[in-house]
Amino acid sequence: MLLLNALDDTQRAQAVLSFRVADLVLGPGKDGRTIQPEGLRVSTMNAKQKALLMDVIAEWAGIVHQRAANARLAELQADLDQTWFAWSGPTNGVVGTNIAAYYRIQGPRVIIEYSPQQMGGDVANHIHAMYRDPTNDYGRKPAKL
Amino acid sequence: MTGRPGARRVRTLGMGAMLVVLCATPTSAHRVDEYLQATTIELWNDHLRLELQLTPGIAVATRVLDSIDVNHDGTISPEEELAYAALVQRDQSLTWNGEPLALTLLSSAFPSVAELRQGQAAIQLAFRADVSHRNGQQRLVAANTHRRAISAYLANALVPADTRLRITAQLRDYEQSVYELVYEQQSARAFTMLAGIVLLIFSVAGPAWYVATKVRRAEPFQSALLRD
Repeated sequence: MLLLNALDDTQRAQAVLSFRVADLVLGPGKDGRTIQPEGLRVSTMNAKQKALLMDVIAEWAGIVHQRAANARLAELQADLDQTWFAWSGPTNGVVGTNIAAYYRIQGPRVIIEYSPQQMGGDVANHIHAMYRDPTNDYGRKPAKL
Repeated sequence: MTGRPGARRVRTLGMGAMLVVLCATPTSAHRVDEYLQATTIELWNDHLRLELQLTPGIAVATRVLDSIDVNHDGTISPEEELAYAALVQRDQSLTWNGEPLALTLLSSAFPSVAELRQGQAAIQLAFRADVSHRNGQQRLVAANTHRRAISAYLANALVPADTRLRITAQLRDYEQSVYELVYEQQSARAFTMLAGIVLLIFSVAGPAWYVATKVRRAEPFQSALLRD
């Protein structure tokens, strides 16, 4: 929400998709596939907005050993201008609470999806999320020794 | 790469595909009361591939199965698979620059009845539609109205592997039941002509350069002969 709230009206209009995204698009079994990106291109964000986006990305890319996390985040920082941010659903969430909206962050080396699930009850309490490096799905790229 | 072996393993895992389910209920829990239908379109210069992944939620699975396992024997026969694929195909509408496109079923894969009843398995259907070579902007409209009352739809296109194609716009209705794809197509003829011109230039320039270098190397020898 912090990131969405930091966008100006023009950026928000591009980022917020006009249609409902009901579930993960690139979940299990979709390795090797890259969908046409959409939403707001990160190259149009200012430095503060980019920092907020990196905070979100770090929630996934940062949950490894610190040295690995630093290297990975540096890669994704370098890719920011070719990264896209898209949002679908409620835009009036309260910062610090679970959101009931879908969002996607898609770059050359990262795809993140956050998708609340219709399970009955509060959708914000049942989330499916996905984090991929499309250039290294399932760790196929050999690690440098 | 330096670092402890453990760190390397973690890095490889961290950079691989990862599915994390964050919820208060068991990780096997999935969509309940909707029939999720995910369409993926793959564009090529002379055809397109349309893939449908159909996942009935547990609360609607019986209703969906009633139209698949029509003899209710608890199994899905090859004939029932083809019949259901035809049913789904009938509810797809595809136009290209306003002209209707015919879909041809390429493949189908059905999980077992038991798996479908649990709401965790997907039916996979793949279709093909042929399109003409044509330069310039193309407009594809795909509509899916299969089991609309109980369905949630997704519609997306893959980034074209063919570099002659470039997607310029994607438009959808709110439910993603209708998906419009606008893309630029460079015709095969134009691409072939360009490749031919490049080849011609190299086929002339290459030998010319070779001859020129040979002449330059020969000149000092010839000068020496003339002096003698």
